[in-house]
Amino acid sequence: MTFASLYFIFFIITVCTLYFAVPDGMKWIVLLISSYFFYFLLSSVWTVFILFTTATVFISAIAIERITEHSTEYLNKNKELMDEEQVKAYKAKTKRIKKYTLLCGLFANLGILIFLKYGKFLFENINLSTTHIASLNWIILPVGISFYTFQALGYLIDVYRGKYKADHNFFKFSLFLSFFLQIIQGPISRYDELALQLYKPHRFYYARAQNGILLMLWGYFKKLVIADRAALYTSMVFENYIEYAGIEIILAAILYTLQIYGDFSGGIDIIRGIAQILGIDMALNFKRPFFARTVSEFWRRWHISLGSWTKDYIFYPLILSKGFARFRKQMGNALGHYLGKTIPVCVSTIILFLVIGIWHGASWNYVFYGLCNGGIISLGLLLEPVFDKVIKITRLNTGSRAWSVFQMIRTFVVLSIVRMIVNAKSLSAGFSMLVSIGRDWGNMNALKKAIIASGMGKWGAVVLFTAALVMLLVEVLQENGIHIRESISRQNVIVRWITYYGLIFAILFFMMDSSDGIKEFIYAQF
Amino acid sequence: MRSFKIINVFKTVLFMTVLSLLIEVCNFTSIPPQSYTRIMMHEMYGQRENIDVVFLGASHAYRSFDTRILDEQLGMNTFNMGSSSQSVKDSYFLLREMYSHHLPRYCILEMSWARYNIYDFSSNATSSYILYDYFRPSVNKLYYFFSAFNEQTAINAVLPFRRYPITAPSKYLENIKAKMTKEYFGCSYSVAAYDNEHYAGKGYVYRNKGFSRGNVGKVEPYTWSNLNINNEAVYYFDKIYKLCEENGTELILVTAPVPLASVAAVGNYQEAHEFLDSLAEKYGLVHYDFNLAKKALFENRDEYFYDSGHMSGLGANVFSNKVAGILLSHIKDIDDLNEFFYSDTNELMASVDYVLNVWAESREGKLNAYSFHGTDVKPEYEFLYRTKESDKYAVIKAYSSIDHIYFDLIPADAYEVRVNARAGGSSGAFEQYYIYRLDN
Repeated sequence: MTFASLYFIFFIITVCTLYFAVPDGMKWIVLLISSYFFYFLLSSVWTVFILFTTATVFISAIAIERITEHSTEYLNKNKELMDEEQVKAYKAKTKRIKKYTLLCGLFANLGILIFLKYGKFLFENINLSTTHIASLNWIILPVGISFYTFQALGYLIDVYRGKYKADHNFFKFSLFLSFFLQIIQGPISRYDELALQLYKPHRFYYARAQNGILLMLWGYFKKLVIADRAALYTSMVFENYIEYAGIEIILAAILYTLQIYGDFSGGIDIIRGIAQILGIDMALNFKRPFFARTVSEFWRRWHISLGSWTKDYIFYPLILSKGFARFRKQMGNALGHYLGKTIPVCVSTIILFLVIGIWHGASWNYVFYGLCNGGIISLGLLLEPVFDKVIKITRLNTGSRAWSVFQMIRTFVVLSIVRMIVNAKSLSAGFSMLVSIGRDWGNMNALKKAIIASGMGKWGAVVLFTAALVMLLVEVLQENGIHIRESISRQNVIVRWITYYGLIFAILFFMMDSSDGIKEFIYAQF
Repeated sequence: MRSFKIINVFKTVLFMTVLSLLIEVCNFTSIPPQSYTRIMMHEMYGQRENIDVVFLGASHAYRSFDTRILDEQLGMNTFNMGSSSQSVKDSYFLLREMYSHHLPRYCILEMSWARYNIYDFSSNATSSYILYDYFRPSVNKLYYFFSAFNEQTAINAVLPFRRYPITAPSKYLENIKAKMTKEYFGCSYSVAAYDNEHYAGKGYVYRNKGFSRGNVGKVEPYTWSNLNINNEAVYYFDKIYKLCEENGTELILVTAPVPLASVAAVGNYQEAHEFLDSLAEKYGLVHYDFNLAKKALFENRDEYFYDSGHMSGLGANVFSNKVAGILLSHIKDIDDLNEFFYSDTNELMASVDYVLNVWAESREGKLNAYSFHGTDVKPEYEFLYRTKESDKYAVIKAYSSIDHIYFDLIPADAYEVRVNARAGGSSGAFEQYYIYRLDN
């Protein structure tokens, strides 16, 4: 059951009706049952993995909390009987036990994630380099495993750090991890931001529901009208990349960027809209990424929940670790202050993006994706003094609108190229596509033929172009601080309704025909 | 607070009502007016008299069972609920719909073999859309919705206008113009009338013209494989049987005929026939396969068909008279009806002493003639040509058992080649012929 199907709409109507119909104390139970029903429909027996993660993380968190409580209690009781050394030793012992408990929880769940998601890839590569060991082709990846595992581990680490107390209600905690709206493609929510909202009963508010529905419709527009239509062309070109060159490849790269944005952010808008109807505010995952002027800014606007998760649980622990402090010192002594400070940041950045890349899937393409993004950001950091000098010499007005637009286009082009390589059948296919851009430039007839061959046709191309323009216009307005939904809600009923009906019929008329298939959300595979 | 809520409820209801109206406007302007199923369903619901005999099946059914003749011959109220590409599942839900309005005594299920094998189009929901659109709101309709459509196809069942994408605005106007008539609203037969066929009443569709004698040409019927059995069809066959049993309706299986050339072209029609017979046997039903009918019962003639699978009006007329006779005999249990049918395709083909069809294809510099014919027939071919200016044919190669000519032999000014075929030893000018256009 995909978010873009009619059955999902029926499901949502049922869940919302039940949620608002039952007494307050039972509202979270409705969400829990709906979540497991939804998950079971998608994963059947593989539901056992989410149950395993829930149980192990739940127990580990409580164990960590108990150890802390016990240690505090013990110290309070026996403080007078112990000397400073004994207290220190006791505290170190407690910390060690807590750490081991945390590591058990982390490794049990990361182990499963690595085995299920990367086992096949690792074995394939081992088999390539040595003799054939084993095949793991039988593995089916449970839906949303990357999302719920990261969410669970974030919770466990936070409990370890003492950020909040462990959840003592297993069923409520199960809801936090399995909440049906976030299970397919995130966002990766934090316990302190989402859990309480899920457990707390919410009343129905007409205006909030109206707002939520509008956000859902906008999400459907991006997914069904833009992403699925663009997919017709991109899947054809990426599948038969040898047959295309020049402008056909460039169009595929641009359309793929549009497709993945429409698909992912559209899906997030749909679930945020539904959550809003239920009275739940889910984390923002996108902030108009194509207005980013640098790659690092892009990552603060794109898949925000993954970026902030990796920053909090990988980047900062790494950069603040004792080992890195030593590394920073050594670098500073050898290469001077600037490089000594920057190189460790670059190394952490590359590691961070390597994790982000690998998180997406088990293939060399995603390794490249991570290294490329990390590499570009690191290079930018290392060359910053050089850029500053060039700007000074050329007296470029970096505060001008034109410079900002140039930076946005530059970032868009760079990331579109990276994405094109990553989405190709293999890395060599991706680079072959990159080289093909230089061939047969300006062959408009070939481009027209390719558009028609893709099944999009002239009319479909016009629809896609117009829809993309509408999306761009909306994002320009949002970027300039205009809250579209609020502006609409302030209009009189006629304008409002015309807007609603316009959006509904734009989706119904221009969404891809079912014979071509509503495409599964791209991020659902991750 | 209370009044605020009431206003919101009112606004929501009004919004949804306007939305439904707008969707209806889209349906009205986008969906073309011509639809056999629309009229058929309207007529079924509107039948004042109880329907005694219902025919179910795909296009073979609605083009073969002429209800006008069957009414007269059987002396009962018959109704043809055939529809294009109707699957066995569609038949089941149609029968359920029929039971909510009528109580037929006999249900004749048309048993074209294609309904029991899986093809590329088997997952296509079109056959269900065209029926679902015209089912009246009911529990059966809801059940049909969830059974016939999946995640991908459900949206187009709920919003039929999406199935008719219109790129030229003039098409909307054409549809509106054609629909804003008394005939359309009254479901008049004239709405579903084309140049070569028309809806003739109670589900039957009359086709004006069949093949000319001897011009069957190349036929490409659905193939059959015992490895591709459509289990869903078998499942719904069982449900149809049980539904009939519960309602006291006798289920009778009839396979409407196709040209004998098509039977031969299937290659293993006997396997398909045996499968259908085995279904009948399993449930203790009778199965009358008119593809195996002896001449005494039904003479399979070219002009009774207009393509490789469907009957012309003339054919349906003859067939309906014959099938009525068989049904009457069956009902009255007066004859051993097996004697009217060959026991297998070997026996059938052995009885054919002529060429069933002929066609030609170019291959490796030659024009090759192919044909289907009776088992003991040795076909011979004659190759002729004519120029664009002339309507008379000149012989390139006289009758012989050689089935090809080289293109070098065809004069440069030739416009088309005619291939005549006949059984060896026959003295007729031709039994079958085929025109091969050289400008292809």
